[in-house]
Amino acid sequence: MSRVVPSSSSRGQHVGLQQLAALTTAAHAFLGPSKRYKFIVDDGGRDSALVCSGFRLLENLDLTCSVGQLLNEAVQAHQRAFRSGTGSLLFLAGAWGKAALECLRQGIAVPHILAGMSEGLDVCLQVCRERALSLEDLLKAGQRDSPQPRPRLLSATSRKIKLTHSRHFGSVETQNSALQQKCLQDADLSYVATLVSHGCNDAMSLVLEAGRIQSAMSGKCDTFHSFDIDKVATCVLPGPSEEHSCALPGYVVHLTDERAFLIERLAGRLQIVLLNGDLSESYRHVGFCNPPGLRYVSDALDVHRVGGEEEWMDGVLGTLAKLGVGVVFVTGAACRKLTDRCWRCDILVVERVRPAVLRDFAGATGAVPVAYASQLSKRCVGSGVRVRPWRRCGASPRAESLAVTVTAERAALVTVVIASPVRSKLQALEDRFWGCAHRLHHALEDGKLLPGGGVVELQCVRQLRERMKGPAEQTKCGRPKGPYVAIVLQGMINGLMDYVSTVMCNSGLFSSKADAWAAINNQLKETDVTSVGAGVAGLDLSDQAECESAAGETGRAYDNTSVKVEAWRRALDLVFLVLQTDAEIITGIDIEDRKWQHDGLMFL
Amino acid sequence: MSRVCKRSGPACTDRPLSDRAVRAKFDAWRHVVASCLGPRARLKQVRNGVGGRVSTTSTCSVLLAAVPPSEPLLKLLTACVLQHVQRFGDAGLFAAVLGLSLVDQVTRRGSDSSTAVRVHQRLLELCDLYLTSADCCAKVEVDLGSCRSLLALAHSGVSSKPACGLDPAETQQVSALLLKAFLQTIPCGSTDTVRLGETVVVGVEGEAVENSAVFPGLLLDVPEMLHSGDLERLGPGPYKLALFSASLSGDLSERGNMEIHTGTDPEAALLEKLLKVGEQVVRDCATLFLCQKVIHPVLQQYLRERGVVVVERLGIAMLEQVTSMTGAQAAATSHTPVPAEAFGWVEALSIQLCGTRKMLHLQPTANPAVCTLVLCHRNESMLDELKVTCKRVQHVLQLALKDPVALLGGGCMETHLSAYIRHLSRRDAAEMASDLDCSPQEFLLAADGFCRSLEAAAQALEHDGGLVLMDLNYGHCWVCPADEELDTSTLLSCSCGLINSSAGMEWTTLGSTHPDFCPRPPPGDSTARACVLDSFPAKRNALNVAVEIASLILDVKYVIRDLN
Repeated sequence: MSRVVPSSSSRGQHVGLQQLAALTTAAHAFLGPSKRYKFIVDDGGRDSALVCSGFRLLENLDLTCSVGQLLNEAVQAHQRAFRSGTGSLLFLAGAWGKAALECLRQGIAVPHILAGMSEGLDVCLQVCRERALSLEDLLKAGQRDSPQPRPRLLSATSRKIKLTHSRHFGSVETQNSALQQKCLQDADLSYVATLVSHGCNDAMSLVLEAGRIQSAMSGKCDTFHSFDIDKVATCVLPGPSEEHSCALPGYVVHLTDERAFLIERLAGRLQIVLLNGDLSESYRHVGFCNPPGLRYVSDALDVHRVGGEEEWMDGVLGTLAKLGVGVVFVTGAACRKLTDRCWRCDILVVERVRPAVLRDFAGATGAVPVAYASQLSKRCVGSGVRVRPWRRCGASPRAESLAVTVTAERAALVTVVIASPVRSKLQALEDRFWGCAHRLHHALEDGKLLPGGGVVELQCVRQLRERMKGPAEQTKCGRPKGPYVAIVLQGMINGLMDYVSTVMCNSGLFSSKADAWAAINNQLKETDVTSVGAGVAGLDLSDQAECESAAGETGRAYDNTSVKVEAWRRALDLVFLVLQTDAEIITGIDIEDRKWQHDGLMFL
Repeated sequence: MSRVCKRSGPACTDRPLSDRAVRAKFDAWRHVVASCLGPRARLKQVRNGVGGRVSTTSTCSVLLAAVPPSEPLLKLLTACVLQHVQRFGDAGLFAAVLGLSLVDQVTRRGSDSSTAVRVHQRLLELCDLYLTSADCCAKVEVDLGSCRSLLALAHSGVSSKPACGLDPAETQQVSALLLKAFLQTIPCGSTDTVRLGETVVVGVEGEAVENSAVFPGLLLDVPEMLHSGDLERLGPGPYKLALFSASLSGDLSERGNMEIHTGTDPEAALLEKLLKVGEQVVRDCATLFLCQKVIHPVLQQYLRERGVVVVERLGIAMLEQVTSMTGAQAAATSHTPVPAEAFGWVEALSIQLCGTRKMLHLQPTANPAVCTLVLCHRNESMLDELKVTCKRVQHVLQLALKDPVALLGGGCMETHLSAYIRHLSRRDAAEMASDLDCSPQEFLLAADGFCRSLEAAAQALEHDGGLVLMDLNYGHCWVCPADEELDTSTLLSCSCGLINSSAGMEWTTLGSTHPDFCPRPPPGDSTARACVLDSFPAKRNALNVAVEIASLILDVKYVIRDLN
C-alpha cells in the first residue's frame, strides 16, 4: 500500500517549504565568525553529539521527512565538494524557501516564482563575477595598507625571523635576495590566509605551517601555489591542550604499549611495503567467496598438526625478513599475533592507514601496493623511510603511548595533529581545520576572492532593487513584466538581508537582528545616493570600506568565489525542487499500522 | 504433527467500479498521474515507509515502478503502461491519464459500459486511420536532412521534465548533446543490415551542467593503480583486448557441498590456473585485460608488471557495450585458453577528466556507433532524473529514424484530434450508431466522453490555474496564464507553436460546448514551425494502450481475491 501526503494546498500552504524553513533555522547560529556549539541529545538521553556546523547538525539529526533527506543530501554533497559554505547554503535554502512561500501566499503561480527567482539568481551571480577581486590586486592593496610585516599569524612571522638567522643561509647577497623573495611569497600566502581565515586563526596557522613544511620538503621556491591539500592528513590527539596542535612532516602513528621504548631500534633508512586490505590469514580480496558448503576432511588423525595460521605467519615473516622490510602499512586490520612477532624482528606494522596516505607513500617510496603478503617481491618494496619518535602522550600513566612520525624522503605528506583535552571538541576542531585548509586551497585555485562579511550580499540587494525598478524590456517573451517579478525579487532581497543581519548579529555587532537590519537599510540608502557608479568591476575598496564602517571593525574577511556561487545555486535548486513538489508518496506501508491512521490521506 | 489451517474463502467484489473505495483510488491515481504531466508538472517525492532514499520525479517509468497500486485494476493499468514505456520510451503518462479519464467519464455518467467500450473501439479506429493518413494535420514530417526537427523533438523531451532542474540555456545544451550522441550511434558504413549503436550515459554529480560532453567510444572508471605514464609507455594503437565475463577472483564458484582433503590447497591450484590464462594473454600480446567481475590481485599484479592495462568489475551492461564496440567475445571460463578470434581491438586509450571523475577512454577502431554521454549536474536527485530523461529522448530519436514523423506537442494534437473526432461523430452519428447497435443518443454520449478524455489530457498540461483554450479554426491548444486577464488579443501562438494568432480567430474554453467545426489544416506559410514535438510512434501506441486498457477495466465484472 502506498500513501500520498499532499505537500501543497490551494492557498499559500506548502508543507515542504515550511519544513525546509524549519529545518534550516537551527543552523542560523553557525553563521559568522563566532560560532556557537549545539548539543544534540537523543530521546533516551544516551547518545549525544556536539556540533558546530550545518552539515554535522544534519548528519546527527534523525530526518524522517523527504525534504529533510533532500536537504541533507544537498548539504553533504556540497560539503564533500568544497568542505565549506554549508552555512550559507542552509541559510539561503531556508530564507529563499520562505520567500517562495510568501509568494505562494500572495497568489503568484509557481512558474512565475521560478522565473522570478532564476532572474534574481542571475543578478546575484553577475554581482559575484563583477565584485570578485584577483589575488594580485588584493596583495597590492595589502602592501599599500601595511608596509610592516603583517600581524595576526604570529607563528608565520616568528618562523620567518628564525629563517633569516639560520646558518644554512650563511653567505651574502645572492642567497639573501632569494631568501627575501621566498619570504615575500611566504608572507603573501600568509596574507591570503588571513583574508580567508574567518576568525579561525589557530586553525589557519596550522594550515600555513603545513604548507611551509610541504614547500620545505619539496625544496621548491614557488611558494605561491605550494599548498597541496591532497598531501595533508589529520590526526586527533585527545589529552594535551589545544596549543599542542601542530603540523609534522610525514605520517603520525600512535604506538600504544611497551613497544614505545623500543622505537630506537628502528633507526636509519628503512624499507617499506604497502598492503591493501587486512593482514591476516583469513583475509581474501573483495569479490572472493567460497561456497558455504565447503568442508575440509582428513584421513589421518593429526592432532599435533600446526595450524594454518602459524604456517602462514612463518611465511609472511620469512618474506618480510628476506626483503629487509622495516615498515608495513596496512589499510585494514592486522593480525595481532603477527604484529607482535613482527615487532620482535624489528618490523613496524601500522594498520588502518587511509588509502590516500598509502597512495602518497607509494608515489614517494616507489613501493607497489599489493593485496596479499604472498605477492610481495623486490619490485614492491619502497625505500627511504624514517621512523622518529615525536612525543610521549597518554591519558593516564598506565596507558602511556608514544606518537612517532613516519616520513619518506620525497613525500610531501604533512600530518596536522589536532589536540584538545575535551574529546568531544576534537571533531569540530578537525572540521574547522579542514574548512580553513580548503578555503585557502580554493582561494589559490580560483585566483580571486569575494569581499565577505555581507558586502557581496548587500551589493546583490542593491542590484536586485535596481532590477525591480528597471524597465520592462528585459522580459524574454515580449510581454510586459508582471507585478509578480517585483514581489519575487523582494522576497529574495529579504532573504539576503536576513542573512547579513544574522551574520552581524552573530558576530556581536548588534544586539538584535532588527537593529542590524535597520542599520543596513540606512547604509544602503546612503550609498545609493553617494556612490552612483558603484558596482563597477575592479578594485572598489572604498565602497567596501563604507560597508565595513557600518559593520564596525570586523577586520577584512573574504569568501571563496566558487564556493559561494555554488552554495547559492544549490540552495535555489533545493527550493525549486521542493516548490514544484505537490505530494510525498510513501510506499510499502502497512495499512493496519496505527502510524498511518490519519484522516484525509490518499491511499493508492 | 502438522497443524491444520482453515483456509478462508476468496473475496469477490461485484462490479468493482461501482465501489466507492475503488473509485476513490482511481481518482487519486488520476490526480497523481495528471499532475506529473508536462513541463510545468508538479513533482512527486517518492520514498519507502522505512525511510529509504527519496527520489523526486515526474517521470512515468520511475513513478509507476516505485509506487505499486493496491487495487488490482490499477495494477493492470500500471503494468500495461510500464510495458508501453519499455517499448516506446515516451508518452506513458499520456496513456495513463487518457486511460483513467476514459474510465472516469463512463463511470461518472453511469452509462452502459459495454456500449461505451464498443464506441471507444470504433473511435480509436477512426483516430488511427486519421493519424496514419497523409492529410492528417496533427503531425509533421521530420526532415532527417537537417537537425532542426530532431532538435525540437529532443528539446521537447528534455524540457518536459522539470525535475531535471535545467535552465533554458542548459536545456538547449543538453538537447544538442543528445542529438550529437544520437548521430554518433548511426553507423556510417552501408552494410546490408544496419544496426543502431548505443549511447552509454555516465552521470557525474557535483559538476556544472555545462561540463557535460559526448565522447566517441566508451569511458570506464580508471583503475586505481593506473597512471597516465603507463598509457604513454604503450606506444601507438590499435591495441588488442581480452575480455572475460567469468569471475577471475580465484574462488570456487561451484554450488553445493564439497569436501576437500586437507593436503590439497584449492585456492593455490585455482590461482595457478588463472596465472596460466594471464601468461597466454601476455603471449598473445594483448594490451587490455577487461573482466566483468573481480580479478584476483595476484593476476592483476602479474599482468600489470607486463605492461597490460587491467580493468575489473565492468558490470554486465558495460560488458555488452565493450563486446559490440571492440568485437571481442567475452570468455565465460578461465579453464580454456582464449581463442585467437575472441580478442577485440581498440584504436586508442587515454585518460579523460570528467569534472572530478577520472575515466579511461576507449576509442573504437572503425565504425564507432557507440558513444558515451557524460552528464554533469549539481544535485543528485536532479542528475537521476536527467539520466532517465536522456535515455527516454534517445529512444524517441531512434524511433523517429524508423518513422520520420512527429506529432504536435503541448496538447495541440489532443485538442485537434478531439475536435476532429467530435466533428466526425456528429456528422455520422446515425450511421455509426446503427453499426454499433445502439441509439444515436448513446453513441453521442459515449463519443463525447471519448473527446472529453482527450481534452482532459491536454488540460492536464496546465497546473497553475491557467485557462486552456481551443481555437475554432485549427483545433489547437492555447493557454492563458491565470494571473492575466482573459484577453484573446494577448494570445500570440498556440502551445505547439505552429499557429500564430491572427484576426478573425475564435476561441472556446476547453471542455465547454462549442459550435461544430472541422479543424482546418494549418496555414501554408513556411515561417511558422512547430517547436514542441512528440514522438509519433510512442504517442500513437499510447493512444491504443489507453483505449484498450480502459475497455478492459470497464469490462471487468468481478474481482476475486484469494485472501490466504
